[in-house]
Amino acid sequence: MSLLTQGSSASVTRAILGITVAHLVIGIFVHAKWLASGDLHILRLYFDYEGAFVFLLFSTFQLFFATSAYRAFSSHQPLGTAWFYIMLASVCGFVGTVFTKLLAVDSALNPVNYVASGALDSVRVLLGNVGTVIGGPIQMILFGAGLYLAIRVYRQLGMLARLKVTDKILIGATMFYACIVVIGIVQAVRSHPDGVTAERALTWPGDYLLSLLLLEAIILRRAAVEMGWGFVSKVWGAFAAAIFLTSFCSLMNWLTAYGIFDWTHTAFVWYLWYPASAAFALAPAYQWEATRTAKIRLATKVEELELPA
Amino acid sequence: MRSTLRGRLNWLRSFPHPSSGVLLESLDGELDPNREAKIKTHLGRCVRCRVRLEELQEGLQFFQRTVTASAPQFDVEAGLQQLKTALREGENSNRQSDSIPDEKAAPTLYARLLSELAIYVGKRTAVQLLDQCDQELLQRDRFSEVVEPVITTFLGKHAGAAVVANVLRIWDRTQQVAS
Repeated sequence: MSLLTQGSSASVTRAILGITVAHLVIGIFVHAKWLASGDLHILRLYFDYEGAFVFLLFSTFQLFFATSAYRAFSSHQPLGTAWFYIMLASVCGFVGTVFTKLLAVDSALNPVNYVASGALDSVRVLLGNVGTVIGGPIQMILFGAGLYLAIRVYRQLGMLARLKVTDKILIGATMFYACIVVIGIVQAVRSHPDGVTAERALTWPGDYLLSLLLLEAIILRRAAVEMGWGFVSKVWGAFAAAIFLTSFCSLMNWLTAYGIFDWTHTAFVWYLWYPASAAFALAPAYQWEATRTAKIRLATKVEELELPA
Repeated sequence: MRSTLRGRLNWLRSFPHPSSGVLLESLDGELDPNREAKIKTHLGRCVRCRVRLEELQEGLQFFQRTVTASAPQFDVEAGLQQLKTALREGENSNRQSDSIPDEKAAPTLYARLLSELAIYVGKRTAVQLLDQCDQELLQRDRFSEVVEPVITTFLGKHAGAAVVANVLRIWDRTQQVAS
């Protein structure tokens, strides 16, 4: 990106990608150490401290850039309304992250441990449940609305590409995933009605909404690919990637929870949530970089826009 | 003689001029072999489409130099070779040397506009947008009409206006240099 905005500082999107890669590399070492020694402490340090910090950082980036993207549009522009919903979804994501990764965790970073007295566990569980609802189904609904409006804009401009065979296969997989969610819920309620906890039930609408988001992501991804890779397609492509990753992680969690896979085989999914979170932050960051690039290039002399050989 | 001429016209009509989008798909290797062969046959005989293909290649090379450090997605060597050939064929008697370095050849207006637009909307959309402004020659007024709504839709009013303003001044500068 610095090639486009000569003289500007390092790119934000590169920073997000760099942080993700660094965090995952550390995760590989941590996981290997845990497998070798069985030391849970190092895993807790990684997920409860470094991991929580990374999630908070990415959700902060997402909120900041989504707000910036929304402000770049005037009220009558359709994508402005799309970014409004995405911004609201980012607020929910941020709040959800604060609640679930910070306030609901038994770690030294949690201020609840220092201010609350008495039944700390129940307070943390309550905060975690609130965060799950806000960062789960409520966020999904708002994202769904934003992405639907973006797809409508593509259609109005005649840029909605025809879906290919691979897209249709993915849509089939999405429908299959939605069916798994519904069947899983019905089975859980029937076979273990007492075992259905509020915590688990709160995730059900989010999982189902995720399958609808996945449908939108497939359509947006195809439109982005057909445009060719510029800033605009990177924005909507990043959203599509974020939803794909989140859906995959969610599906793996479902299959593990219902005994299809052993948890030791799906442990790698713990780390995939970070790239998913990064992708949600990357999308509005690309939008921000596009507007910034446009302004910087206009401010640059025409002669300097032509790069030396 | 008339029947020969009619036969030739009929033959030419059987290969309609491919759009820039189709030429781009051909460069990206996305056409089926049958269609690719027809395009190649047409290009062998149609100078106008060959020039358009070279402009596309030039624009994409310029775009690749501008935004990516990674390997280009199409055969740059072949593209550069074609560009060299075109330059050699079109060079005038005032040039001092036969080997004009490709890096110093001024990009055409089409190439500059394609490169600048592709940064934001991707090369395929940029090609489609420029196609809509192209009636034998790129039309400046038509450009604002066609491109501005699309860019401002995706980037917002101010950034969209900045992109269009930048493209238009690149346009003016390129025309100034060319004249």
